[in-house]
Amino acid sequence: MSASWPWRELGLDGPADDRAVRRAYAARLKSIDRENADAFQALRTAYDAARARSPKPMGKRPSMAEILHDTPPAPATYNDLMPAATSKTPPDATPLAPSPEAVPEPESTPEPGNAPAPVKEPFPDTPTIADLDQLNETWPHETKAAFMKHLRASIFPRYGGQTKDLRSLLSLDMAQEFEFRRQIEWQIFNMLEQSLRNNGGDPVNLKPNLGRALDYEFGWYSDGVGFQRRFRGRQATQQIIEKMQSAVGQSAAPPKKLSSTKGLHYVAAFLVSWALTALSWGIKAGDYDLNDVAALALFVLPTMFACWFFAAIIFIATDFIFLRVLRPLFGKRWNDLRRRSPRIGRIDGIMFRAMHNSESREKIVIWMAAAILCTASIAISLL
Amino acid sequence: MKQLPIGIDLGTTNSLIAVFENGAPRLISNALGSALTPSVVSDLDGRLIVGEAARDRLATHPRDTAAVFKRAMGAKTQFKIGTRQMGAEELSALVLRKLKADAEADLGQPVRDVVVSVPAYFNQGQRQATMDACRLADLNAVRLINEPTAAALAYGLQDRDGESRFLIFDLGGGTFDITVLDHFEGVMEVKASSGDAQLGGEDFTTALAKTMIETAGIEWSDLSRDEQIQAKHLADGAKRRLGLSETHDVTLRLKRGETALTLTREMFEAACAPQMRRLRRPIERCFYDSDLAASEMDRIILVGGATRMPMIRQFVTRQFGMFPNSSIDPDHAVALGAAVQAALVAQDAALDDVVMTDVSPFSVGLSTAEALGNGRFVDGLFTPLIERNTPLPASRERYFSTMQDNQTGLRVEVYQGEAPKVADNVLLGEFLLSVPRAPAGQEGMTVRLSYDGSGLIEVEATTANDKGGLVIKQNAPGLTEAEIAKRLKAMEKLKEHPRDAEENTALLARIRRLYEMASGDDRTMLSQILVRFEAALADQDPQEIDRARGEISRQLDAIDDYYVS
Repeated sequence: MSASWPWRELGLDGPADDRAVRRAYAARLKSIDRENADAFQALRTAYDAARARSPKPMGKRPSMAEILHDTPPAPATYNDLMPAATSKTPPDATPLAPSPEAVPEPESTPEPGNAPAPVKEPFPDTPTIADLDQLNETWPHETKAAFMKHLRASIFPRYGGQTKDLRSLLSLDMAQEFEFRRQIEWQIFNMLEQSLRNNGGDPVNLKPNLGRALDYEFGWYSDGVGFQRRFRGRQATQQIIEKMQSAVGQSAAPPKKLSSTKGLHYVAAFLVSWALTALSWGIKAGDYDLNDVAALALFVLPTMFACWFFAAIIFIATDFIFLRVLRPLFGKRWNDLRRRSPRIGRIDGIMFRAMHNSESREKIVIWMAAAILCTASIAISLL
Repeated sequence: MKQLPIGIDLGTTNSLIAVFENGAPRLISNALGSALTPSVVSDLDGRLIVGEAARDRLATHPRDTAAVFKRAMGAKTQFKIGTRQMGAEELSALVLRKLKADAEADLGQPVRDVVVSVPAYFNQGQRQATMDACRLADLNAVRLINEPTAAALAYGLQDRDGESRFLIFDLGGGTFDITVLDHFEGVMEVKASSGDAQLGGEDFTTALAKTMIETAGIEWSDLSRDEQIQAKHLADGAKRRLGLSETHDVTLRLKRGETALTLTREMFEAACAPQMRRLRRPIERCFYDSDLAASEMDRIILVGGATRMPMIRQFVTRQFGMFPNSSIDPDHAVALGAAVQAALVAQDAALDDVVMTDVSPFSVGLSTAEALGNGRFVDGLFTPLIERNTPLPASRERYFSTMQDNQTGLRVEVYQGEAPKVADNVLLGEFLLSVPRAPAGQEGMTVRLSYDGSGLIEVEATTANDKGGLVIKQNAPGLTEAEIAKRLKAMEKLKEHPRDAEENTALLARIRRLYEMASGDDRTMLSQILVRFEAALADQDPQEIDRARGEISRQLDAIDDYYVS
């Protein structure tokens, strides 16, 4: 199938209008083996290519940028639309600074066509979030600008907003309209991208609770595939995803430590047990005198090891009791119990962390093995 | 004789079965004469009953009854019914068996091959569980169809030559699906599907029940499980009534005493605000993906019993600026469409000029790693090969290269989902491939992923010295053959209520439910009715039983009306 001449695949002679392309596609679709992925895909590709080039009967849906240009938002947000143009702008505080005269803007005065009745009350200087819905009925442009200003403050709290304002903003009736909602999403992305540029690539402003709110409203993480598709090719997309993950993802467990102390423990356990064994066998062979320092070491170290050994056994037994017996026994009430008695809670927490982290479990096993080996070999040497 | 094409709508609240005959789909009624069989299973003295009677027992014997189990499809949740523990697959199998028996009684021929509908937003695990349920009911599900697509087929068949774009808004008992379709020249083309597998009419009922209890000044969590179920039952009736009138009076009868309440539609709407908010996201997503705007829709079609709520109709009208269409009963559309799909699969001559293309509801892809530049990697990234809402069948190929010098193996892990990290998506399968030693990036593998219309996913990967593949079938049950056999055996032992006695059982359950609800003199009257009917049953005279049943049904209708309104 040639992508440059898709009409052949459809059985058409050449470029045709949308209706003819659709008809040709329908006819072909009925004749091919529709279970055959390759045949279907070839037809489908041709169809999409042919439709993309045929004059559309109805107006194409406006693109995101068109939508944004259509409704004049606050001036700062305008710049954000064109990343190339804003690359020279000073830190994000400047273009986004809330200046009292920024709203209402001259360019956002309604056009004569839908000019408001002259008798209505003037647009307030600083409308509250709760007022926006009502204002939107008479002052659509100004209200949208004010909305964007509140939006900025909710993303960057230094402008006097709070993250939770985002929820209230997005649950306004005016924010339910699909096109405007898209505009809002785009705007938030632009603001974050801007701040990212000014912070050397670290999305410091994307705090976990903002991340959760954005995922709830727009699915920036849970629908990451859609998010990446909408913001494909934008600089900030990947960094935002990374940051979103730590806020929302179930895989948000702290990132794995790159350096592991496991090896160190292996070496130390080996050296200690080797030294102890050598020492005890050396004493047996008569190389050392029992009365010098080695004697002390021989007495102290195995004792320490024995303590270690018993501690590990107690540890594992406690773990067993807590995790395998008590938790299932109490079921949901276990959490209540933990809350009521901080001590039980703390022990349970330590146990859980220690035994459910494979590395710490491995370390416990290494030292137990070393202790058993040493005790055994010393016991044999002393007999 | 060839078996007629059969379609089944296995719903959260109600299930239906339909047959395609004489060029059109038709619903098959159960023994009670209703097309809707409630998806409820109850234990009645050691025997299992399904349907109407079981639903009435939900109020009187909540411990012996299981409902809303479709929600738990593919999960390990166990439902307690009397002394038994059953999973969602087994319970669904019991419902399917009942439907099968009804269809066999109606058609006079054995039923085996069926098309079963599932919410578009069901993932692979949930789809597999549905297949397992069919197997346990001795049915062969030749195809699973997405519910909104099925509904679209039912509508599309009404108007074969029409040309329109429409949106299917499917709010069922437990799931919410949204689908945009393009219908032209006999082709039904699904443009995009989206949804929320955990949002449905039941959530609205629960929200109303909670508000009701809180209005009465009681904490919801203070109620016992049985009382909660009772409250939900009451709320369910109130929900229906509030669809017809602005206010509705209920009487709460709890252990701590009676409370009379007046519920208003406003209260109901306020209680459901969070649920209403959740409706929006899938719609937005669907329009994003289909590259269409809400204003380009020609028709909005409502499917699912929960779309009867006035607030849903208002929402749709406001959101799309047009009145929705529900010329086919919203409860029936999916089953009818499933039967049409069954006929399409069987290549029924009546449907020669109808073609339907569906899309993949989820993205499917691989787990990959990416180099950060300074010798470090991030792994566990999800790289979709087939993005969601790609027309099916689809096949995509991509090359992946090694990340480390002298790497000897490549692990192919196939995931389904939308999150950018695989850990948050669903693992479908994995395999290992060997690769010749070479500097990083010089060797690699070509992966080909195919996804066909029946939900079959095939993965093929080739390296210079190895080849591997994986087939992820929907038709292959999540359970192993041995396990199916074992469970089938266990199911055989279950005694089901005889079909011919179904009407009587249902009536008895209904009398008992009303008895619980009624008070004072009405109770005495109901107990008299019960005694009379039991006496008639004991006499075993079919004519007499029939007569008594008809008479009592009328009386009960009157009582029901009085109490619920």
